[in-house]
Amino acid sequence: MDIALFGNPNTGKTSLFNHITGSYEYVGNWSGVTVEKKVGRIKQTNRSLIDLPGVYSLNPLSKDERVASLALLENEAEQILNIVNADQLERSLYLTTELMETGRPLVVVLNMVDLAKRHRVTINLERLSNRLGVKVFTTVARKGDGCQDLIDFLKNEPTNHPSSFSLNYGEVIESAIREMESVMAQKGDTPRRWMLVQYLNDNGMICDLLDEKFPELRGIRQKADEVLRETTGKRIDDVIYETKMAYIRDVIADTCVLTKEKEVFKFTAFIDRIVTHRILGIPIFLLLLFLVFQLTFDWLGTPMSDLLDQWLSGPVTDGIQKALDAMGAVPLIKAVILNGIIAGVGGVLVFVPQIFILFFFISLLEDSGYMARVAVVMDRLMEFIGLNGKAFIPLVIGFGCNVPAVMAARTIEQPKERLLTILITPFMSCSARLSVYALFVAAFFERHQALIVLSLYVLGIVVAILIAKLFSFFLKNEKSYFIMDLPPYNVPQLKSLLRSTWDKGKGFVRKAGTFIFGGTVFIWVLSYFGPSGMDVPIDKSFMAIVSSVFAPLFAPLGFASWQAVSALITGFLAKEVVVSTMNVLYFVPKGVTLSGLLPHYFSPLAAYSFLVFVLLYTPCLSTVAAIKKETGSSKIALFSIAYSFIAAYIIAYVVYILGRWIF
Amino acid sequence: MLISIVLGILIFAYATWMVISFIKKSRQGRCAACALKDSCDSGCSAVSFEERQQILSSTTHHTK
Amino acid sequence: MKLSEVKINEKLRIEDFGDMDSQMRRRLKEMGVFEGKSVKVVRYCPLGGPCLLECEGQLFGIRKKDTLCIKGELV
Ligand SMILES: Nc1nc2c(ncn2[C@@H]2O[C@H](COP(=O)(O)OP(=O)(O)O)[C@@H](O)[C@H]2O)c(=O)[nH]1
Repeated sequence: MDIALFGNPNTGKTSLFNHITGSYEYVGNWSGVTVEKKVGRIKQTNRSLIDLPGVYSLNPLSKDERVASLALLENEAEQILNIVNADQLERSLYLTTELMETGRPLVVVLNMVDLAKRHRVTINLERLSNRLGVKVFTTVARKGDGCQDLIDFLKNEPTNHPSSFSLNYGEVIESAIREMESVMAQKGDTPRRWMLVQYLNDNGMICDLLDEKFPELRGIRQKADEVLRETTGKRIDDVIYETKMAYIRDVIADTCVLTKEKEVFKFTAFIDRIVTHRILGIPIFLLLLFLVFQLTFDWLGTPMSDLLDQWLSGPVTDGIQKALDAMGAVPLIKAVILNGIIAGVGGVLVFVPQIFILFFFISLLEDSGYMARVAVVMDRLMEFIGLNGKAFIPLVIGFGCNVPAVMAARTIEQPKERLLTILITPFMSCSARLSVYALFVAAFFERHQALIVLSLYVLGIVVAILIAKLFSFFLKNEKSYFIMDLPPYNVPQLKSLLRSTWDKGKGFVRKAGTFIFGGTVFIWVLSYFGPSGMDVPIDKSFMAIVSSVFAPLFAPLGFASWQAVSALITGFLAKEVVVSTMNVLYFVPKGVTLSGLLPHYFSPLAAYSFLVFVLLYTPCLSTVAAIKKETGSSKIALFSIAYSFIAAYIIAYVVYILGRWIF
Repeated sequence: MLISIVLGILIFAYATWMVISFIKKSRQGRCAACALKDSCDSGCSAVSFEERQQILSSTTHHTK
Repeated sequence: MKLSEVKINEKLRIEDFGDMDSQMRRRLKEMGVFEGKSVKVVRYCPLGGPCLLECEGQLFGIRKKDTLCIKGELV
C-alpha cells in the first residue's frame, strides 16, 4: 500500500522522506523545494512513500499544490503520513483536520520538536493522539531522530483504521451537505463528505469537478451562503474555517503547555536585522555572492583546478600515450584519445573543483534559510517587473541548473508570472556555464576572476529583469500577491551540506563521462575529417567549413574565429561542450594550456563579449525541452530560443562597442 | 592493429550511444542535468499537470 | 488603525481584512493569520518593499499594499 506524505511547506517533509526511504532528495530551507511528487521505497519494507509538494490546505492556489490535492482525488494516497510542525501546531493542524476528514488512515508525525522545545512548548503526546484519534510520532527530521520508530511502525504493515473524523459545521452547512448528498445519491454516486466540505469551502478544483456532473450543487451552496450571511453575517468559508480552528484550539489547549509567549529566536532576529536591512539588504546579497566567487575562483578553486590540470596534461597524458605506443595503436586511435577525449573531457573535468566549491556554498546559503530573506529583499524589484519575490527562488535554483529551475516555477500561483519566470530563468548563469567562465577568466582576467564572474551573474539577473519588464507590457496583467514564510535560521550541518553538494555536483561529473564524452568524440571526428579525407589540416575540416559560414555573423561582437563559432553551435547541446569543443579545436601544444593559448585568438574585450554571449544565448537543449514541457507549448520553447539569441547578440554587441569606446 | 580496431569500435560505439541517449532524454524533457534525477522514481515529472487533468476528466472514479 | 500605520515593534490585533484579495486572504488564514491574532511589525523594506511581520513566533513578509487592507487595534 502506498503512503503519501502531506505537510505544510518547509516542515521537513523532504528531510523525513530522505531518512525513511534512504534516498536522497534536495532539501532547502524555504518553501517550495518539492515541486513534483517523488516516490521512494521505505527502508526495510517494500512499500512506497510518495513525497508531495507542501500545502497549507487541500485548496490549491498554485500548480504544484494541485499535485497534492490530486493525489487524494485519484486515490493515490491510500494512507497518509501527515508531517506536522510541532513549533507551529495551530496552522499545521489545519491541514491535518482536512486530511482527517477524508477518512483515509492517517499517522501524524510531529516534526521539529527541537524547535518547539526551544520555544518552551510541551506537548502531551498521548493526549494529542487520543484527541485526534490517530497515532502520533515525534521526530527531528534534520538529525534523523525518531525516524527509526516510524520505520518500525510502518514496517509492520499497520492495519490502520480509516478515521471517522468529522466536525459539525452548524445547522445551515450541515443541511446543505445533506441536500447535496441526496442530489448526488440520486444520480448514483456515493458522495464523499470531505469533498462536499471542500466544495462549500470554495475549493476551485473540487468545484470544477463536481459542478460539471452536478450542476444543482451550485444553487445549494449559494442558498446556504445567503442564509449564513443573513443570520450571522459571515461567509460560508469563514464559518468552515472558524469551526476547524475552534476545534484545533481546543485540542491544543488540551494537550500543549506554553510556558512563555512565543517569540522569534534571538539569533534569527539578530541575523535578520542585518541581512534584511533597509539599505544594505541587496548589497549584502551581492557581497555574499562575491565572496562565494572569490572562494570558488581565487582562493580555493583555481589552485585546485590548476593542480588537476597539470596532473591530467602531464602524467596522465604521458602514461596513456606510452600505453598506446606500446600497443601499437594506429594514428587515428591515438588522435581520438589524446586530442579528442583527453583534451575535451579532461578540459571539462578540470573544473570539477570549482563546481563543487560553488555548489557547497549554494547549499550552505539554501540550507541556512537565507534565501527566503533574499526573496523578500528582492520582492520590490520583482514587483516592478511584474513578478513576485517568490519568483526569485526558481531563479536562484537556476544558478545550479536551469532545468529544475524551470520546474520550480510551478510554485508561482499566477499563470502569467509563471510564464514570465520560465522565460527569464535561462538567463540565470548555471554551473555548466561556470566552466566556460573558469576557462576564460584564468586566461584573460587572472587578477579579477571573482569580479568578472560576479559581473556575469549580475548581468544575467539584470537582463532577466529588463526582459521580464519588457514582456510584462505584452502579457495581460493579473493580480499578484506575495507572502513569504521566513523560517528560523539553521546552523548548517556539515554532513548534510556535503551530501547536498555531492548530489548537485555529481551530475556534472557524470555528464562529463557520458554525454560530454560522446559529444567530444563527434566534434573531434568533424575536425579530423574533411572533404579531402582523413587527418586534414584542421582549417580544412568539416567543422571549420561549416562554422566559417556563420563566423562573419559574429565579427561585430569581436570573435569571428570559426573555432569560437563551432563552440557556440555545439554548446546548444550543453554549455560545458563549449569548453570541450575549444579544447579539441584549438590545437594545444604540449606544455601549454588552453588558457595560455586563448589570448592569441581573443582580445580581452572580445573574450568578455564572448562570455556575455555564452551567458545569454539560447538555453541548452534540456532547458528548452523543460520549457516546452512546463508551458505545454512548442511555440514558447522556440520563442525562448529565438529571443534569447537576439538578446545575447544585442547585449554582447553593446558590451563590445562600449568597451572599445572606453578602452 | 587488432587493438586499434577494438578500441575504435568501443570508443565510437560508446560515444554514439551516449549522444543518442542524451538527446532522446533531453527531448523528452527528462532532466538530464537535474540534481534529483537519480533518486526520483517518478522520473522528475512523469505525468505533467495537464496530462493528469486529462486523465482525470476522462474517468469518473473520483466521485465514486 | 491600519497595519501600515503601525510602527516597528508595535503589535496590532487584527479585526478586519478589509477588501484584501481573496486568495491572499485565504493564504494568510492558512498560515494562521486571521481575525483576533496579533501581529508585530518587524521591519519595513525600503522603496515601498514588503513588510516583515511576526505572528506567534513565526516570521513572514507581505507587500505594503496588503498592509493597507489589514485593520485592527494596537495592543
Ligand atoms: N530544527 C529543525 N529543523 C528541521 C527539522 N526537520 C527539517 N528541518 C529543516 O527545515 C528545513 C526544511 O526542510 P525540508 O525537508 O526541505 O522541508 P520541506 O520543504 O517540507 O520538504 C531544512 O533546512 C531542514 O534542515 C527538525 O526536525 N528540526
